[in-house]
Amino acid sequence: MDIQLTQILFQIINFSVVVGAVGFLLFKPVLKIFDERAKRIAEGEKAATKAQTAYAEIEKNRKLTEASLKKERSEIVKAAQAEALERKEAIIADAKVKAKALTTELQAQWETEKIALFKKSQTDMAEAVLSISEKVIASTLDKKNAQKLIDTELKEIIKAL
Amino acid sequence: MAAELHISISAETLFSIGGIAITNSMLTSLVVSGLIISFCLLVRTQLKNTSNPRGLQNFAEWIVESLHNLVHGVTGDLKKTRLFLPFIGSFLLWILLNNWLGLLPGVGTIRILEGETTTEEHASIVEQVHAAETEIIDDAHTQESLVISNEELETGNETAAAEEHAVTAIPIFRPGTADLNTTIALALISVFVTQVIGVNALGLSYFKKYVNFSSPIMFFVGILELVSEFAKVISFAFRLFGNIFAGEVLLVVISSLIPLIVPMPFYGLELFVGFIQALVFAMLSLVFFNMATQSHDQH
Repeated sequence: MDIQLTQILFQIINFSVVVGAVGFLLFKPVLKIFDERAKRIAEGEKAATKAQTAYAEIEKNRKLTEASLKKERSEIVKAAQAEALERKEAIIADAKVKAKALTTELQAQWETEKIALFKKSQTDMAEAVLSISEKVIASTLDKKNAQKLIDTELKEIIKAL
Repeated sequence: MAAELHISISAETLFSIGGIAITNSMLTSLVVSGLIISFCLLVRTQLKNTSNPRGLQNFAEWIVESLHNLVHGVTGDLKKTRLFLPFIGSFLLWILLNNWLGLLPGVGTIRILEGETTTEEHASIVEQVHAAETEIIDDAHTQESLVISNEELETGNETAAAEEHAVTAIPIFRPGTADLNTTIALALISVFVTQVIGVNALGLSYFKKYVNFSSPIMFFVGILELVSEFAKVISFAFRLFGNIFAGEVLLVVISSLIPLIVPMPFYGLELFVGFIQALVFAMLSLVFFNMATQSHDQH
């Protein structure tokens, strides 16, 4: 084993240069990048925690609003149901009134039409009687006698009625 | 066979620059340092502050993060971790690459001829050896016999061996950690940095660890601590050197005995040993660094 001081010194210098190069060219910049990345991650985590808190707050508010809206909705539905019931009753009452009026009107119309029909049937009957009478008498009445006969018959019919 | 079984416990000198002998282990260490520095430069130029690293940056980040976690697991203090990391990381990467580089084809096998003879003389010697071998075979053929006598073969081998003694084939590359000078240098750096870290953390009171007159027992403990610092250098240096050099010898011997397939499990074993030794050196240094930052009362 040949121990040479010059070789030992050479290797010490050689290794020292490597330590310096590795330290300044590799470890220092890479560790700097690690630190910056860790900082970014920490900031991201902080922002995420903040966002999570805000989200929880919003969720809480949403639930409260939802409950309040449900309550309001139920009240609105109840009120609407009550109003609808009221309107239903009013409409029914109004319809009843209108139906009654219509019935009365129709009855009056019916009476008028009945009278008119009756009158028409009287006329038709008179004409029929006249026609029959003509056939029975077998002669044609002149205008003056016919009129006299009609009047007499009508008077008797009216009297009968 | 003699060339294949070239085993030298110390690194061999390849050439000299200004009176400084450059050995094959120094050359390998320089190659490893060059590789590490090139990698660091490449990473530095491609580094981007992104949350989605890819390719080389991803690989570099994986290395740094793994080492950071390893160191932080021992220190438990971010400031200490950042202080120790360049040393521990460099120890681990440099020793690991040196250990593994020795397993590459060509390291230990590509050689240059070196000796007292010149290049022309080398060529002449090699030609003479070949001529002697051809002569022996021709003689055997002339006598219409394919059997070469043992005497003739021995004569031929002796001639060749005698010629080879004048020429030595030196491997161009030898793992840096298979040289005791390198491991001593690493051990000295580790122990020296431990002292610097201790003084930096505790001030001059760090030396109370070695010189303590509070009680006779503490005084004796101080002496033991002082001795242990020197023991650390020896322990660090010889553990790493012994393991890696033994691995190299094992591979050379196995490969020369049965060159095919059989050495493969040993290569796997050496890969593992190379990693474990690098880890052991780095972890022990880390533990010593960390202990140096704690006052003697805390021990």
